[in-house]
Amino acid sequence: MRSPLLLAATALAATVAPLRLAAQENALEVVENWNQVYDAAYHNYQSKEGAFRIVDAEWVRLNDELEQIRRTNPRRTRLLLPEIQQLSEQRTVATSEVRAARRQWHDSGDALISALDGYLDLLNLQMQGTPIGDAFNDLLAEFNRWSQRLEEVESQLGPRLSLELRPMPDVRALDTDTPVQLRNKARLLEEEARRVNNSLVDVEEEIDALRRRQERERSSADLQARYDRFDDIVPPVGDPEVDPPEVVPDSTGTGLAQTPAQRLERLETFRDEVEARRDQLLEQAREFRDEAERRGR
Amino acid sequence: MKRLSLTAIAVLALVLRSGTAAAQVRLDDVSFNMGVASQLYHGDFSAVTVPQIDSTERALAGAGDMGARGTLTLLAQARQSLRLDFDAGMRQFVTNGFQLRNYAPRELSGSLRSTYTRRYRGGTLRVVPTVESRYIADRPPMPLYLPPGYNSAAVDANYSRAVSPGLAVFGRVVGELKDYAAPRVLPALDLLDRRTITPSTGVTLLFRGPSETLDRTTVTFFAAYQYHSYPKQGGLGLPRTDDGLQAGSEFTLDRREAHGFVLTLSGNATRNRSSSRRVEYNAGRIRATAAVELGDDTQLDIAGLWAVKRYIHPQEALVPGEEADNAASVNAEITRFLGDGVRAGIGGGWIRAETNFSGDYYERFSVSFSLTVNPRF
Repeated sequence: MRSPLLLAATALAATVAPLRLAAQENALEVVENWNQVYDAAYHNYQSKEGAFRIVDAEWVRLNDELEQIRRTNPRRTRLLLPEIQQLSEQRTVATSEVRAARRQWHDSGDALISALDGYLDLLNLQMQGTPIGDAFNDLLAEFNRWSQRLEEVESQLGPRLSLELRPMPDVRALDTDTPVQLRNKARLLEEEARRVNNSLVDVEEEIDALRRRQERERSSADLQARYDRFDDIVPPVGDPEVDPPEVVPDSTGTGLAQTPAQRLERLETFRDEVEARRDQLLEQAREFRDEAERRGR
Repeated sequence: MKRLSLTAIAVLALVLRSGTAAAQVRLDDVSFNMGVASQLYHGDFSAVTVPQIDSTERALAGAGDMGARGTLTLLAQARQSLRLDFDAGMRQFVTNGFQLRNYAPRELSGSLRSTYTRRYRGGTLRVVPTVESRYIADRPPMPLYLPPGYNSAAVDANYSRAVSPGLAVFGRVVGELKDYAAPRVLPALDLLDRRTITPSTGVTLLFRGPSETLDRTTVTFFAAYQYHSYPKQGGLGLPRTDDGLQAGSEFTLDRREAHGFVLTLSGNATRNRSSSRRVEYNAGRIRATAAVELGDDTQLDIAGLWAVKRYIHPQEALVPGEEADNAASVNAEITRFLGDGVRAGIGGGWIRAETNFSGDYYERFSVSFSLTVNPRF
């Protein structure tokens, strides 16, 4: 009885192993493709940005010069004006090129991150089923290689709205602290509270924009659902229609892991955390000031 | 020691990565709505599936409706997701103006649609099975046209692949069974039973809108082949089968955040050939929808349709379910956002459908008021 079971298990393992390997190769191929697209887009952006900087620096220089000599040197002014005009046109073109290149770079970056997420998930799954040994080490090396790439790409793309609070500053009142030292520590905490409070502005803005969009989209979708529910605007003309499919997420580089509603909830939770942290910091600063006053008496 | 370190790193990595893909069942986008409407119908239109006849050419109807819909997210991971959309509603009419008696149609409607999405090597597979049911009791004679009830099941499988950022190609197959479940007293309804299979392919271009917004523009071009089989139509033991070729496009300009509007325009042309000569035709259809924000708390939604059909051979009799040749409709609603998740809407609509060969038509004017609540769970 055991040998047929063993045979079946061996056959299953033999079937699954190549499938996993094929999935890994496919995912790697996707990652490498997007990696190439991303590199090209990033270099293109850098080159456009570099060209813009040159034109922009010259434009700024000539404008500064114009400002200084406008009243004192009419001849030079007459020479400068057409030059500035020409540079302004070049600068406008360069600006739009930079904007387009930046968008391409961000789009391909989002797609690469999404592909990397999928590939790293797959590697994780494979590591779970691989005993410690050379194969495991290979998988781990591959995992580390692409994890580093993910960090690099995220760092190149710059800070997105981070939903992580910085650690609470380690500021404590010591028995030996003088009132001045305590007030300085309170000031540090108040400064941190101010920074935390400032970060709320971005979060609130994103919450407002997302909520507004969600409400409006839901309103239109509800209306359409009411029309569809009773076929209210379907005349008896036959010819069943083919609606085009929705735009697929990976053509926009958007992940599937989070719905807009989830994103909104995460932002709202984060906002509550930020507000609590700000209040905590201000409370601690107040305690420090009270203590400073007590010790000063 | 090295091996232990490697193991520790791997375990840490596994813990960190698995935390990002936690599956969670969620209920989203739930809405409940109640509405009342007043509708005026007139015309002398005939429909094969409406055997009752009343000599009036003008009828008035009042309707009250309620409905609920929402989305259950069963699985949401980086590479796959599964969502279930549900919708149910009921509408009750009172009518006036018929010569024989005044009817009181009641409609019930329900649908379930699940959407499974999975990513494969640079592409995305989306499979959407749908079941839908509509029931109507005391269906009135013309000119108060209410579409007949049915049960339907459909599967839509779409594979799309991003060939570059903002450019995707897709291949798609949709299969649908529609059964009009004719009661014994109304066997003509069975004539509408249909089986359809539609393979299609196309390309979608996407352009991002202003940075820092979700605004975007999409353009889709597609071509489809439609095979329809009507098992209860046709003669000499041969059921009617249609072969349709359709080509079309859709353009969506989403500038919700930058300028407060979304506009969608779509159009298609169909060449339908059939085993039955009398239903060979060419048809065209244009659709437009727009949502425009009017200030902070108000939105205007407009939907318009224009459809035209030309038969190849002279038309002498009505085709069940396709009695009209040309149709146009405009519907609009102004929605006021009253508070957190509560909306009120005032709307109006007009629809006209007519035949070419007899000039028969029906027309409907309607005004409506609705309240919608989107509770948060």
